[in-house]
Amino acid sequence: MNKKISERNITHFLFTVPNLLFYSFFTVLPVFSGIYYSMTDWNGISKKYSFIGLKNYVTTFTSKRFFTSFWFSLRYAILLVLCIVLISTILALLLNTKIKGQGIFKTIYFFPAVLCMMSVGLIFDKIFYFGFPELGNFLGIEALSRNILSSSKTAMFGILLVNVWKSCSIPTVLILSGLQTVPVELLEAANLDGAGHWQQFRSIKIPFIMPMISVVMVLALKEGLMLYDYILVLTGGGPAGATESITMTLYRMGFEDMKYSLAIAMSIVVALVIIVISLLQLKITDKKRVYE
Amino acid sequence: MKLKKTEKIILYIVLTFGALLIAVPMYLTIVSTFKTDGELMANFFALPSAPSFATYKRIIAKGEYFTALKNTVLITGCVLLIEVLLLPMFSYPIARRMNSSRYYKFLYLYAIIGIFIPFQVKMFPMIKLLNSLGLANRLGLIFYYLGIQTCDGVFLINGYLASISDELEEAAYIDGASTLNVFFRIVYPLMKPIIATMIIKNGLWVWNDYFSPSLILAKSRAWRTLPLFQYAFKQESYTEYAMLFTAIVLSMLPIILIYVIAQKQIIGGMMSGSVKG
Repeated sequence: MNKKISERNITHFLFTVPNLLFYSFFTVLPVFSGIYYSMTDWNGISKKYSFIGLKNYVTTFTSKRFFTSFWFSLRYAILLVLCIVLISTILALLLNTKIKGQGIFKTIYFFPAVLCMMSVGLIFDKIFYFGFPELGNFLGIEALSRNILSSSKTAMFGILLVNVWKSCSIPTVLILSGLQTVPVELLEAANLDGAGHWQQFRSIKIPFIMPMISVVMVLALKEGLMLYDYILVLTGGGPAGATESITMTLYRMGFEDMKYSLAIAMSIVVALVIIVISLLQLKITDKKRVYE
Repeated sequence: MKLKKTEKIILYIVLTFGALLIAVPMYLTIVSTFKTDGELMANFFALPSAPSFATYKRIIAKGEYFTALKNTVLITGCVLLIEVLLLPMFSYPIARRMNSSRYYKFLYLYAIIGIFIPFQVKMFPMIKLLNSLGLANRLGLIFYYLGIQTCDGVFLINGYLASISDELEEAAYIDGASTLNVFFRIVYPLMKPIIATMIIKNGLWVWNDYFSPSLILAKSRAWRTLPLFQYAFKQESYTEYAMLFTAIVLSMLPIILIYVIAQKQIIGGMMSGSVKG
């Protein structure tokens, strides 16, 4: 018996080794070496560099570019979360009715989720360039006839539109699956009591979909803060830096401006903020669930 | 809940309008591949006057599309093949022993903490590391995915195993089965649903990723994946609109085919994947 158990211990241990190595080497090690490099003045190429302590972090907090792009990303992420939660909840409510063709609608609404951001970005880039102005001219709407990506006031909304087009799919199906856990008896009882759609939604459905909405919020927030692909394709950060997201700033600082160690210090600050926001968000939505 | 007739009509109108919002960009993309650049600029919404497969022939003749397709299939395939073996092996002992052993408890926390670390922190040192190892290539990209997908994978599989009792395994141990036998004959088959979820979620992630390959595979055109191929197309031939649309359509084609065949599994997999991960 003892021999058996030690054989099991060894096999289990060996099971964990290969993946542990990949993870330690290609995920954990870079984080630690990143923390180290953030305290040097290395430019990413030269052989010599020296230790400068927390100077990069001081520079981070006095960098206007850092705050401008971080502020852009935050605003963008909040808008994205609002749009996705609102649209997905409405779509899920509409799909959660007894109608013919529900399966087809579900297939269509889920479709954007499998596409790659690069394709979607490229397609909409051309739609903004050719399609909207043509539509604007045809309908005589002047606001449409200019490419919304070319004005620093409206470019963010163009990017947001593309992102929402692609990213509502999974949340919709998630919230739909939450709605399907609502007990039918509860809804029937409410119906008998004469509760309207809105009342039923507010007092019966929301508690059941709250866990899904909190998942959706965390995912959308993370997606919004990491925004890169769409910006690269649609605006390149322009016009005049108006849509430069934090990820794009970090990329350019590190690989184009040769401020490698500063870029890492900034990325660590961003990481800490993202971690704090995610934890806060989880805590708030968790509480809401319990009290309801 | 019963709907009134007018409510039903409004519902259909809204749902159809939404479906059109998704369908129209796809329609425009496909139609544009059959037009000339002049037609595209003059009338973006109209049907082509003389549709032909000329742009498709030109792109296929260039050969870069198939190189990119091959790279994407190769990288996604390798990552998934290794993961379906390594991740369950890694997660199983953790799930079963984290409450009795400090080593496995540590492994669990060690793997989970990675979920909270954003990509930006890893990206610079990662490139540096891969460069210094001579791994800034397709193999390095595969290793990178294997590392980074550990966190979600462990979380996902662990949650699933916690819902399955270990009675079957214990009975097999008492009958004298070896650990390897128990894992591959009993536990692994039980894990099939969660492994399918993982394949779908991680497969789409690797297949569609642009940022990491753009950093790691920057050195050679021959390593380009489909997302890189599309972006390069925009950069290099930005005035050939019909060609660009064709490149996009060809790049989307494989994943669309897979979606048409296996949409139920894909929707299910993506959902349970994102709830737990």
